[in-house]
Amino acid sequence: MSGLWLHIRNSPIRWAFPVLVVLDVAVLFLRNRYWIGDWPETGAAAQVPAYLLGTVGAGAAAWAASASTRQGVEEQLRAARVHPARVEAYRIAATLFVLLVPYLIGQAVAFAVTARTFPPGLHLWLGYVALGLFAILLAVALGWACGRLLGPVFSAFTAALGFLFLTVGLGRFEFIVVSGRPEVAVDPMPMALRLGLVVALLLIMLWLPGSGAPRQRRRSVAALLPVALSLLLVMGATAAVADREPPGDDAICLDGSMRLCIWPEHEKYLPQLREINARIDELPDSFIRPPLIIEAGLHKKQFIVINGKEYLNYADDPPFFYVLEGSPWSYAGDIGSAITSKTFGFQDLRACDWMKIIEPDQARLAAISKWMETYLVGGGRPDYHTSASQESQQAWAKGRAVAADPSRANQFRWAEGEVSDLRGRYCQPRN
Amino acid sequence: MISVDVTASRETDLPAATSPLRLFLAVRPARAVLAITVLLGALAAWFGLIQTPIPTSIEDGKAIIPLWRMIAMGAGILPVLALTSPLADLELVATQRLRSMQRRYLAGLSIGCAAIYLAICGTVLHPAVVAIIARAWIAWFGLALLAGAILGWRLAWTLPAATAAVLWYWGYSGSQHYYWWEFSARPHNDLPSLFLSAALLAAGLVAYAATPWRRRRWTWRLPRPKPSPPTSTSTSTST
Repeated sequence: MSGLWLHIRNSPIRWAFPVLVVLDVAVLFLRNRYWIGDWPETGAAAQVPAYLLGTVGAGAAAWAASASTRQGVEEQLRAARVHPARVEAYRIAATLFVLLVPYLIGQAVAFAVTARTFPPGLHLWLGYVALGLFAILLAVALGWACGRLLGPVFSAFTAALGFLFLTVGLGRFEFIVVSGRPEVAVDPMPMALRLGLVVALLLIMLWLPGSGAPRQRRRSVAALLPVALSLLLVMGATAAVADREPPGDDAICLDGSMRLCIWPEHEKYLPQLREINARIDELPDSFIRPPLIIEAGLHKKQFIVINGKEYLNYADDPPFFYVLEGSPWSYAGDIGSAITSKTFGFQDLRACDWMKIIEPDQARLAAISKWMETYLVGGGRPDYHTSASQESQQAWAKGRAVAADPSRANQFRWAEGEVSDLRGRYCQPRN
Repeated sequence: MISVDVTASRETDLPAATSPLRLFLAVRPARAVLAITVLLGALAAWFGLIQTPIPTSIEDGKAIIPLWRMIAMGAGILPVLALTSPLADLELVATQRLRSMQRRYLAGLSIGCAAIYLAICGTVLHPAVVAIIARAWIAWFGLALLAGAILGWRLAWTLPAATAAVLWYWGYSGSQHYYWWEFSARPHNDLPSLFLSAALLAAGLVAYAATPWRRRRWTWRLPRPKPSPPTSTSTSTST
């Protein structure tokens, strides 16, 4: 242990440690804070810095790896009493300490912040910790390989740039995730396989010859290839993040004129959803509510096979909503459009014919859907950007202006009038 | 100059009568830097438009960053890496001749690298994109010079890499817009980031010029600090 501590204190990259800690915590907190109080989001938020730490970390690992060549002590180390692999093990361990601990500090801080409320779903946090761990280990492996194989001048540069290229190449394999939505989770088997392979890669590096070694000794580099290739293969063939099994009875549901169910991990949104549910109850009767609305992923996806191709089958599913970045506008919008769609019978092809809708009526529909959204949130300005056309934005502004009316009775009178008028034009009267 | 002469001829078996310039170049990785510049240029031209999603501080969906923005950073660092010399410890005591040669070497290599890199990029990428790359190159080069002058030329990549992490993570302000200091992504006709790039280059050049003897001369021009009272020296010696 004291030998490891000696290596850490004398590591050529020890000055990177405070920088990386500051970078990690800054990336974690100088961002949105909706992850607080939600385990999978907490893990994902604290895993994001791993990508940035990895870029600098790959370069730092290469710098540490090439230290012995740079200082010209390669031959002394090879002739030392202890086995060269053991010296390398100490050096790699010290490098891992300097690069991993800042990441783990970030995860620990994030854990402490969320642990105050301690919602369910702690195991999801662990999955994202492993995802970030893998990114850092991969960066160290890449950096160490560059540092051992290339000369001291270009190794760190190549490693940092190489890690950037690697993230571009692996971008589609869930190398780094941005958010930890509750309907997905890190799959333990592929993750364990990745971690095992990258650790194997690091172990092989203990026997790598330095860049100054004689030619015949440099053949052992070839041992890296099968492991590196199988790692790439595993990353390409398996998905680290997979859909979760629906929680079944564990889902939290709110009853009212419309039943509203969410993932247990999202219990921190219950107060806001209760308010929305109360506002739904107050809506006039001419608005038809679907009996049940669920958070995305709460029902198992069903596939139907048409001509040998699989398609998602939405027909029997209840409408669903997303909670994006914890924004009430995201779920109020989804819930509102579920209600307006049911009210106007967009799916009811027998009673209504919305194909022949004319432009002004389209604007009225848009106005009422935005009124609904703003009403459900409880007023205010939306927090999202839009690139919608000028006409639809005008229609939205009209709907939001109605929602700003202090008298709720006036709002409902306007909305009821619009519903009955529009339904009268395009739908047969309800019996 | 003597030190260079002796070591270089021993390591590379150069004939005894050879020009100082060749001796200067013999221990510096100019050829490797040019080769890597060509390689990076080819990579940027071939794959530059590939976009990759990366996490940023605001968007829930990841922001998209094209590869050419990443490669431009590498191209900006390279000429500074070329300043590295295995004889740096000896060259510390070198005189005017080596310094001026190093100055010309840096100027020639950086301009050459930039020209090669931009020319290769220009064959494929849109001129507006090449203009952004050129501006970003200036800024990355300035940052690399700054880091290299402070930490040593081989560590020139540290400051650009750390800056890139900050720019790419916090520089995106949503819906395809970037803050004014995001010099690697703002549109090509954007003035603030052009000024910022020029300022970074100036900072790098100042750091390069600020050799120990110049710094001493600069501080001499300032009013000299009063000689410290004798009590403080006596305490320091006693402890």
